[in-house]
Amino acid sequence: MMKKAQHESIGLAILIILIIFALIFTLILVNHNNQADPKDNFIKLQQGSTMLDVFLRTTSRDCGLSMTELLQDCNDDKIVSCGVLGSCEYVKKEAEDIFGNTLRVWGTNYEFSVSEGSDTLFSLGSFCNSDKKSKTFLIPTKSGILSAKIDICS
Amino acid sequence: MNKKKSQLHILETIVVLAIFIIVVYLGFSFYTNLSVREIEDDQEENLQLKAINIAQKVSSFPEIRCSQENAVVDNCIDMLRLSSFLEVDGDYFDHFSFSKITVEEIYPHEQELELYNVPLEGHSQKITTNIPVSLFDPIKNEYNFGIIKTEVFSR
Repeated sequence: MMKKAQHESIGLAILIILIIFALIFTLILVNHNNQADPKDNFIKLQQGSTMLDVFLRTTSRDCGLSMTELLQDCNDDKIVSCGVLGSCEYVKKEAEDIFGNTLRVWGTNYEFSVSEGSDTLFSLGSFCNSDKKSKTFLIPTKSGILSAKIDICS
Repeated sequence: MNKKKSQLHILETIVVLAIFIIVVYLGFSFYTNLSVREIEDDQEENLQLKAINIAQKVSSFPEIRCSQENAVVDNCIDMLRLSSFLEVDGDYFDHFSFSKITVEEIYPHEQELELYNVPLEGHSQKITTNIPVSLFDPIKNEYNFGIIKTEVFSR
């Protein structure tokens, strides 16, 4: 009788060990799937900073000024006009054009905003609900410091 | 009565053994699948890192990058240097391996320039990396918006 009970205990122990093994494998698999993609991380980090750096340096096609100069005018005198648009509307339109042909085409959600203190001059794209990588460039103007910020959503 | 009990006992042992073998088999096949997937993921990760490496090399390539008063301008390609580079028939396989590198102008005009193209016949994987870059025109003194598109191939 004692021997039979011992046998059943061993069976139960083996069953528990098998269940523990299955749990460990599942945990490894879940952890493995959650690992961040190194390329995606690099792209998100690089895209935000490079995109903004390159955009602000870009020469506008209609007035020959850089986007940084147009943003400075947008915050100060508002005397520059490119075609039929003022500096603020023009930068917004060109940013929409450039980011639309790059980030949107690549399926990357983004939010681009230009503000001075708590006043937002304009913003583009959609608000990031999840994790994001942000990059901010500060632009000195006569009336204060402008902040151009881009969020690349994960 | 005793014979029937023994038969039941044997049947019970067979069922337990069968279940045990099935569980071991399932565990083993699960482990094998996991290992194969890990190897595939490692291969893909290596290819991704290679794509990143090539993209970084291109954006800081001394033959084509911008400089002003001997200072390097980050994220910038000099278009005059690029057109001269395209005319030279250099061997860059050691740098770029099996890949295709194109410089695309996005703004103000759209144009595409092929920097390097050594495709891998019968490739099964292709990783594409896009990096924004300024395209400097030294004649007009203008910066255009472009991207460096790197496609890396692997079997």
